[in-house]
Amino acid sequence: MKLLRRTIQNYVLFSALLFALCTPVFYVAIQRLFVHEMDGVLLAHKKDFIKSSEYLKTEDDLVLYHMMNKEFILTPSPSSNIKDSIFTAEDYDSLHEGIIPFRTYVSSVSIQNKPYLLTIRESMVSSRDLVAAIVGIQAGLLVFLFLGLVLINRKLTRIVWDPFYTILDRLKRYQIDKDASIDLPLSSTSEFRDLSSTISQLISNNKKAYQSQKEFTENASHEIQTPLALLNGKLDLLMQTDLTEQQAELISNIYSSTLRISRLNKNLLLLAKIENNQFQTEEEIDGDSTLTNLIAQFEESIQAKNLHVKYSFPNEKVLIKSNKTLLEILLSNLISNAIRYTPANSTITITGTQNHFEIRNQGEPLKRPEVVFERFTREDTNSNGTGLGLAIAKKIVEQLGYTLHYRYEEGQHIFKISFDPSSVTNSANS
Amino acid sequence: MKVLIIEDEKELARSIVQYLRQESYVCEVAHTIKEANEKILLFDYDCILVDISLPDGNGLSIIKTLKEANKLDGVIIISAKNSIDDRVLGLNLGADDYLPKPFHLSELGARVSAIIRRKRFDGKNEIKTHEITIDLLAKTTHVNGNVVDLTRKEYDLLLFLISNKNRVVSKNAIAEHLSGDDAEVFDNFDFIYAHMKNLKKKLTEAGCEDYIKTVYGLGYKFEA
Repeated sequence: MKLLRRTIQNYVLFSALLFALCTPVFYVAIQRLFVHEMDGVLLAHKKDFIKSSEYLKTEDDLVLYHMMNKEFILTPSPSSNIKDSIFTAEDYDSLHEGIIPFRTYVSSVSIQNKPYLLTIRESMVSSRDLVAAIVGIQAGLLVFLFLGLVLINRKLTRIVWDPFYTILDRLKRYQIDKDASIDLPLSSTSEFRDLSSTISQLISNNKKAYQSQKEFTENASHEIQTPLALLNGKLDLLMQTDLTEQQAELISNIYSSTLRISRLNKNLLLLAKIENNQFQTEEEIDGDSTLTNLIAQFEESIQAKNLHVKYSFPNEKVLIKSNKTLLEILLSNLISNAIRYTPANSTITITGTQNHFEIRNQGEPLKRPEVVFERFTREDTNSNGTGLGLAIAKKIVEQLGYTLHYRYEEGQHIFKISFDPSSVTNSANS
Repeated sequence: MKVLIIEDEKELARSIVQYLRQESYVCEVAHTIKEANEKILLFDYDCILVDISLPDGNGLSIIKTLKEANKLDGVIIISAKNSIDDRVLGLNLGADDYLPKPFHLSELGARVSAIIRRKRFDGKNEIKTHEITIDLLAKTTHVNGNVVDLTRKEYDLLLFLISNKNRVVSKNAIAEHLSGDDAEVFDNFDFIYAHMKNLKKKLTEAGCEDYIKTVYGLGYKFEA
């Protein structure tokens, strides 16, 4: 639920409850107040009557008094000790021409020492209307208050929380490996200002950590290059001395190992460079000539295993706009992977269109196809691969915004590069 | 022939000196840009090896100094940073070659001798060793005046071995040299045996003495 709705929902709930509870309570309270007030008036009337009753001497006086004061009714009472009572009773009223409620005060009085029952009535119609009006106005006020509350709250919340949503939006779009820094609004609300500066701080710290982690790989690889060069050099010199066969074999073994470290290091460095976005430029690259050149580089290995490399662009001339270095490394790694793992005397097939490249080679199915692109995972630990070739390929593909899928079909390993991932429809497994 | 090695890693500089001396080059070493600049302005060198990262700055500045002083020394950049930018920048400044670390001394030897040959080029760019003559412009090989028909790889192989005459060249170095700078090298060296066998056969058939010796499983040596 959105923050805006959540606050308003609570307000609405509270207001509705208040409204529902208050209106009857208010009504009853006002009603009571009026009745109480009316009762006072009735009692005062009685006092008035008692004062003026000494002037009422005859029956005629009484009739006259009643004519003058319709609300006073005097009836002879059988006994003098009837208790006073005040109640509401309905009766016909000639003025309203209908039955209306009256507040009625019944009391026993004695006039000229004769007991009488005095009934004083006061119409409740006007007071009832007044109560209704007051409660109505009050209810209307409450409704307006409540509506105003909701509207102001909505608007205010939107204004007040606006920086928050801006921050949220920017955070969502922020990518630590791509964006340099995050630009957050400086709100006048101190909490949001705090939030902005805290997030900026957090991100810049993370960025630094990320940067130094990336730089570490690159620096470490650079630092390793020099001692490796030294080791290589000394081995080259050692080779020039008079050697026994046994020594020569040992040197040969060390030499192979240093070569392997060099290669591993070179690949780690390359991986770091790709991650550090050091390949940015784009140009139009001709697919056919690129492949021809790459395959020529592998000529020796292809001949050594007696492989047949077939490549074709069935439809058209393929021109790819990309970073030349990255694209070449990508294709080179996939081709070298195919050469390395395909059985001798087999065929490697490469097909390309404007949208994708596919490289196929024969081989036994992988035991763990799901980790084929992971660093340092090799099916055959005795192979001389660095375990980085496909990881680099995957990294390049991510960098260039392509996709790379692996699948195994009819005894063939198939790697497919899609240059436009949105148009990919049949990528079985990756 | 004089070679200046500008490299702050003293042991590496020593190894290079030791290797190149066997080719009877006169080698001098500078460890800093300051030292290097002094030597450059005082003496003429046939080839200068420049490391890019030096304690007192970027080695590329030395190349600028050389250019400003109008010295036509051949320059090879050696760098631990195998970055394309540095390579392009260096070559644009007038360097002749770029060799990323780590490298084989035999590869360095071949490149140094290539540069020196180019510098000493006087109408005829030829290498002569006993009965073998290699024409570097036409890329042809003659034995006792007769053309030996070598493939491109065999020619490269022969040139590489002769450039590192009397020194053992490892199979790895040969494999990397023949495959080119950027190619991934496989640990299968069968192709070298094949090329070597053909090369030796063609040379001996042309009446050449067999100068190429196998050094156990380690590599080869052109002995002359």
